[in-house]
Amino acid sequence: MTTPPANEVTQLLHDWSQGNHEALERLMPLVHAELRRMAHRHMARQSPGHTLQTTALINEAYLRLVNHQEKEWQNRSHFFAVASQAMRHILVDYARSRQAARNGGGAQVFPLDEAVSIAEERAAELVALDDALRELADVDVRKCRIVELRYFGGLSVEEAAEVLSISPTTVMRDWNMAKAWLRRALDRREASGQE
Amino acid sequence: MKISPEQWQQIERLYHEGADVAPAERIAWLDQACGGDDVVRREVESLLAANARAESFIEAPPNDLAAAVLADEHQRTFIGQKFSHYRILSPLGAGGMGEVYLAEDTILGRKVALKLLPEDFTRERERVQRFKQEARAASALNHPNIITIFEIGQNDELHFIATEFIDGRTLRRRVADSPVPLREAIDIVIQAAAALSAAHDAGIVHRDVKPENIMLRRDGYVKVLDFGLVKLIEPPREEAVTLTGGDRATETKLNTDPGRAIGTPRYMSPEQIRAQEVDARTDIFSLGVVLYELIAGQAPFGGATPSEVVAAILHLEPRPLARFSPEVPAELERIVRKALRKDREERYQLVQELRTDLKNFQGEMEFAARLASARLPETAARSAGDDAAPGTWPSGADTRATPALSGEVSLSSPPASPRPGRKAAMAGGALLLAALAFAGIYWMRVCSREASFQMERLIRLTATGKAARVAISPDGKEVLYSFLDAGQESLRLRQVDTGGEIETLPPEKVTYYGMTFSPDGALVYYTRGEANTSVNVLYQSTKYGGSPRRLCANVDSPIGFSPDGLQIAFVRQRGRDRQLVVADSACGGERVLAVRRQPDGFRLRGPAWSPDGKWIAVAVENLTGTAFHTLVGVSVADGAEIPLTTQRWEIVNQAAWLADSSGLLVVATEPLGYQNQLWSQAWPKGPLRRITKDLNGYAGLSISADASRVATVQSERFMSIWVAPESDAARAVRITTGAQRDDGIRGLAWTSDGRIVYRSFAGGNPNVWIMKADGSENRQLSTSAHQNTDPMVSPDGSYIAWSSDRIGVRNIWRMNLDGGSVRQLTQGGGEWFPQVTPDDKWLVYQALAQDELDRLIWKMPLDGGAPVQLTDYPSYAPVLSPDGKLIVCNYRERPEAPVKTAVLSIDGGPPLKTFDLPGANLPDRPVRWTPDGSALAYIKVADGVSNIWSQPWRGGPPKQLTFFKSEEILNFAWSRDGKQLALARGVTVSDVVLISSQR
Repeated sequence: MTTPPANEVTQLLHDWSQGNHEALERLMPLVHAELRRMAHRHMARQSPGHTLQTTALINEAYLRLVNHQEKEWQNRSHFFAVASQAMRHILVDYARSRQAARNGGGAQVFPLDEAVSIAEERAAELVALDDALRELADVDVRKCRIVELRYFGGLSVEEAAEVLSISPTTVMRDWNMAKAWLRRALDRREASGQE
Repeated sequence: MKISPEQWQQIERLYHEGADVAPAERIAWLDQACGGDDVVRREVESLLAANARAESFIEAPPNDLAAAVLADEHQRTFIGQKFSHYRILSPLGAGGMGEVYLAEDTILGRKVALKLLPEDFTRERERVQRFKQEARAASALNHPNIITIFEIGQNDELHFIATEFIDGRTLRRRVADSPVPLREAIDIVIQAAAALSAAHDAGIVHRDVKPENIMLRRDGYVKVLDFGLVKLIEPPREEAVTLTGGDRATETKLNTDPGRAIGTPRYMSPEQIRAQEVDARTDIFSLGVVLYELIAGQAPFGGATPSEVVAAILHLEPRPLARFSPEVPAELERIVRKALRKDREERYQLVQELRTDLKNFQGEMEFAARLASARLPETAARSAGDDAAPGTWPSGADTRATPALSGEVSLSSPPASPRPGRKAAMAGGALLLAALAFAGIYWMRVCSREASFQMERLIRLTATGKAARVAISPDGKEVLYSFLDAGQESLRLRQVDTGGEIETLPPEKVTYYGMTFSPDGALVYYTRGEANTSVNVLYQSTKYGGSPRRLCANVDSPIGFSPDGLQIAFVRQRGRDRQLVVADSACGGERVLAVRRQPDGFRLRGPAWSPDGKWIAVAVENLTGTAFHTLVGVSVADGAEIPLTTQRWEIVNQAAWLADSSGLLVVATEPLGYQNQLWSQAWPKGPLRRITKDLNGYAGLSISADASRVATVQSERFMSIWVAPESDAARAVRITTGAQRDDGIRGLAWTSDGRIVYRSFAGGNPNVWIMKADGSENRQLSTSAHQNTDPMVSPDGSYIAWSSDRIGVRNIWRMNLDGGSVRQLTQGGGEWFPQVTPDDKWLVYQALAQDELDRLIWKMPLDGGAPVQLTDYPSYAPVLSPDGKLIVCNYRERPEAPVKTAVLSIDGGPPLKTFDLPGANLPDRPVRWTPDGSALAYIKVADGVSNIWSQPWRGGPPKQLTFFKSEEILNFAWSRDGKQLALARGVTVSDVVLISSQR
């Protein structure tokens, strides 16, 4: 697996910002793969148990994947939007596979270190959050995006505002309400015994 | 229910509007704003309610999860790969120095452990070389306690180490699984010391001794790993020269360089931290840290951040082990301290010396055990007839079998000699609280800028563990405190700077609710409850205890003085009313300034008068609905009330004004908090800041006139779960351990397969846990960050019912024994103490009356249906008889009457029988049925020692069931077959501390 040329990603980002939705479909796997690859490199270099900051990872991926000759600041925003989604996929896919494995789905589960047992515990939480986010997207897509950017992408309010071309105040209001909405959804889930 | 885009817009608008509406006015506002659209209203209301619970929810990115996920994926990518002739089979784990895999030696066909070193560690060839030399040299010693290295090699960029595969677990894992019995801890450290001794003789220093590097093989062998590995990551000494200028520089360095793989400095020696040249004595220190941690259940030098840990290693003395485990003998305490000396010249010089001392101690321990078991019959007989006279030697029964691990050692044991014989090896070291007492000085960070009090340091003034209340003189030079010993209280006056102390009032069977100095410092006022009367009396005397004078009765709180010293304020209980009363300093000219009616009353704590004389700060307890405490200011002029803090507290214990009126200090527990801490609240407006940040509890608060010194009582509670076969105290074994967890309080029950379900603060907030009766397979069941309490196991053993505020209001919930299938059972709010009838048809519990004034007993059909009210008098904490036909509960005849105990029918109505059982006058005190259902069982405290007694419920004399000689019991439960008794027992140590402010 090699890193795609910076120009390709830059071009795709550009196309996407021009309204070409196919570009996004081609972009996503590239970003997805790069995030994984970089994360593994971190893992090989650093001692286990080292925390991994998702934001830092995305930033680094951006620096590697996007051609900076272009100086298009929108690219950065668009890139973050894609990368936050990719990060969501990576984590949620893992959580779902983990659950499937535990419910007898086949893949062998190794008794690993503490870090992974955290993952075990939190997998269910994450799956529930992902489900709730899908429901939220049905009602209000923008709020869902904001959660993706803030939670999975680790973006600040200002950065999220830039990505979505809305004011920070609006982001803050959306974020506040999205949190309440999700909290409620998860509480209901728990209350009905689906946890 | 489908929401239209228009509705969604409306919901969104109203949601943001509603966020600014005070919760109390919200219902009216919703009625008006939603204009009859029920869908919109429901949505807005539930979203606003959820908002209150969403505070920190998803605020932090899931970095931990991302790291775990990717590490897991990463490790999997190595499976099947070959390094030299080793093929990786599966991951074994990961430590600070690399990932470890189980691999197969494809030539010899044996299993090996393969460690892959992170690339960051292996960049410098020279370092790798040094590491290899040292690791090989250690392995070559061929010592049974040193792991054997087969190969150190390289595959492309990755360096690996292949070692013998050890079928076992690391000491870190072992510690995490269950408490390590003392005997086992000593054995592990003796073996590790043997390994280090051999290495030291060969000139090899390990430098990184910690539980992760000590493996325990299944057959009991201890293996020390990773000799020399730390050479890969130590900073080169040239760099270190710049770090030795001062401690501060070192601390900064460690803190700002997280890239280094030194995950925690917890086991580092002071000289390592200072980056000085290290020698064998560094390993002695680290092994001392390990030993301390095994005994205490926590590391000797703690801290939330590496820099705090570093500061502790360099500056703080570890707390005496007796604080964690009262039965730690003095000799062991001495050994650990000698290993942990900060100055290495004062430490053990050879690890062999440490090992010899431990071996001797081990021998004494075993000898004592044999001796004790030989003497058992005589002492058991004695303990049965002897109600633990204070000062008697606690021997025999307690120390049987494994003397230091199970049973009892009295707090009043005589001091052990410095080089004790076998007696001391048996005896408890709780006395060391005094003998080894130290004035712990903790430097703490302060972040309060607004209220003028900024903590500079905290000094422990007493070391007996028995202080109850304290007052500081206006000049800040003396403290007057009450001293509680063997059920009696005395008052003592202590000079802060010289440590001189006199007893001003001798021990008596009384309770001091609080003491106050007069503003000129000459007189002291104290409120006192006396035996055989429920009337509390205010006295005045000189500070040395002379000319005591009874001022007036019916003063139910400590008093607060007006700034001019002419008036006093206090709280008085009259029926349901709690009155804030102002009077002159001789109790004349009484005036009721304000009244609050229970369950929303003033607390019986000392009111605090503001420096300008206009306000009196007083704590309020609101026990309706979701109960909370708060702090209000009452106007001296007209009795009007204003809030002094916007916080809704779990507990408000005591407040005091700062002299410059910039704010108040408050001893209080935040929502979900575990213990009272000291806070500052700016006045009239401004932030709330936490001043103390520790796991101790604080009670009472008294401040000097210039607000530079504060006295309070700091307490630590060590509560463990014990299991006593046949209720025999002598055979009781402690199965959980740890300070500030309150294991088993408000929740202790047996499953039908003999496991124990209990409540614990082990995870930081109250949760339901389950474990086997030997303490193994301990795990948390409830998961939410809420208050989970009162777990019980259904009679058929299939599920747990418990009380939780997990959806914002407190309800009864149920879950399976594995924590799954969580379901809400009650719908009201304010429901506690669930019980299930043997036929699984009814849930019995405590909940509020419809007018929310009293707490009553209710029952509810489990297959659906409305709750039925069973009592119409205040009644609490119901427990069903084994046949499910009777309920025992605590109750009050009238709202203001003292707590008694009642037996009533499962169908409700007036009590069939009432009992005035001895014990705490508290609604939630535990009363149980004996396993055969013939008697009530309760906790009786005599001279500070608790035991279980029974009272036949149809009549007859009470009978003592357990014969413990020390410690309090706060809860108990018999196993299903009635053969084992689980107990929540322990001690609380409380001492006066002085907190001074920066000037």
